[in-house]
Amino acid sequence: MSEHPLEARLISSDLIADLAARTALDTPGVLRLEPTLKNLLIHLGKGTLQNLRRAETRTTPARHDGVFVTVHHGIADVQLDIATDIAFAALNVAQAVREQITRTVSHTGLTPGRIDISVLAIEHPPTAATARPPTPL
Amino acid sequence: MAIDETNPRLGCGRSIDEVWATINQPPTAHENGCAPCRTARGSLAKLAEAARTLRDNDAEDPSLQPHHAVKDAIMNLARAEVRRGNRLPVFQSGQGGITISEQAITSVIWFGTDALPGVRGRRCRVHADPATADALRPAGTAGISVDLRIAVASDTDIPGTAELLRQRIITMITGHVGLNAGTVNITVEDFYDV
Amino acid sequence: MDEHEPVALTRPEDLDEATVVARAQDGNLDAFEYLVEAYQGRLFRLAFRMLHDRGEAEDVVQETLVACWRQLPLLINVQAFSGWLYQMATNRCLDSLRRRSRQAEVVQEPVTLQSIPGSFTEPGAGGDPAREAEISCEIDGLTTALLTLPPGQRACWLLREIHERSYAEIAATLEISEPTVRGRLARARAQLAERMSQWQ
Repeated sequence: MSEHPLEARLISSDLIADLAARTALDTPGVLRLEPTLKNLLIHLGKGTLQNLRRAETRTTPARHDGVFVTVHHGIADVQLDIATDIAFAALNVAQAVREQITRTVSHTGLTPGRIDISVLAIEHPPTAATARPPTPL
Repeated sequence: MAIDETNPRLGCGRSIDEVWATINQPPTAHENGCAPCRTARGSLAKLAEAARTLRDNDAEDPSLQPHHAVKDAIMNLARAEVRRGNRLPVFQSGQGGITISEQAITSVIWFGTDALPGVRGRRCRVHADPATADALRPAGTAGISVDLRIAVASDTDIPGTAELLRQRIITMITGHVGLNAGTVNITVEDFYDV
Repeated sequence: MDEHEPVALTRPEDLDEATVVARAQDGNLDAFEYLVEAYQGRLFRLAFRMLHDRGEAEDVVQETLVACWRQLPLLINVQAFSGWLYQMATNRCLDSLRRRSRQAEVVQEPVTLQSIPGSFTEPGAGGDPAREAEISCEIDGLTTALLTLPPGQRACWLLREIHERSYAEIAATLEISEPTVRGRLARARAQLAERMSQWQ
């Protein structure tokens, strides 16, 4: 069967990133994906401080901020940065995210490789009382 | 003295500093009788009044604030360069692992300090326990150690509060992080209310 | 989860400043944002009265607070935070003035100095036009006279009289001795008093 190599070529790392992001966000206890410095700098562009100040600064981050995926020889490696809800134990949440992503990746026909999860923040979910205008993060 | 060279003097030999020092008091006998002192007092008093007006006016003047884009730019840069501290490895396997940032754990610890009256959590360092740092760790077995600096209210029972806080931090790290805080060092660095 | 957990960290405005600074040092953005809000106006007013240029003053505020974010972890004594900020801002103002003086010196006429956009809505004047005019005149006279002072004296005077910093703090900010601060202040006062009486 030559199905797997074909699928590997058909399934882009972007698609896996999208799946991994959705899977993480559907896992109880995950508040959001956490974009990193690298993504943010790409997102903001290489402007000077002045350009930053004068440009429109309230744009939204790229769709896959916080997810990095590489697909090689039918194996998908996923690295995901998340913020978790303080009502949950962060380690358990991260563990659940890993398991779910492993399962989701398998369903695409690819083989899950290294699935790395980083919990970058542990917070209370925003409530109506403390809600603030959305920040770029 | 250097001060004499730099401090302007009046015709009578007194320095501007001396006149300034008593500007809010009634004039002395010398000042009443001395023309240069009287003039200096008059103009310095006017200056003091103008300085007060400027200080009060500027502090309240809404136009003497930077444009809001200045703060936006500063905060965007701070977010882009946000410091999360180390990423502590808390689970490792051949198929990847889990890290938790020092800052995530620190914020849980601050939640703990903020709930205790009379305690303010300040700087915090978190380390992975050296004993297990290099081993392959199954979930739930990783240990960490915490170094926390706090300020307390001056009427705080320090030993009792520190012990309460230590227990609280251990409980919170188990419940909200899923780790075991084997060592919690607390240093009281300041009274925040004196 | 424990019912007694706070739903949020204590807000920075309910903490002492040293604790807010310590949390900003450890990367807490809410704490840093609070410090930005607490200091941006003060730093802007210092820079504006030093430089008399909104754009340059805004640059000083932005550069100072960005440098603050980057260098915060290195600040050892949290109590020294405000002095440290004032020092960074004052140095940037003095640098700006040095750059300016290397370019052609532009003599500013008093009339152009008065055109501060949207200014002079004096509080406390109680809607009394005569008093408002008087205040406006007082401020114009003083700020115009201020701009004739050498930058070092202007910085000393503003830090002392407008920002109410102590002699020791000003000495540390400008890296000069306390007697030098006193000397500069005395000369600044003498010159300001003289200029202002000329204006009336």
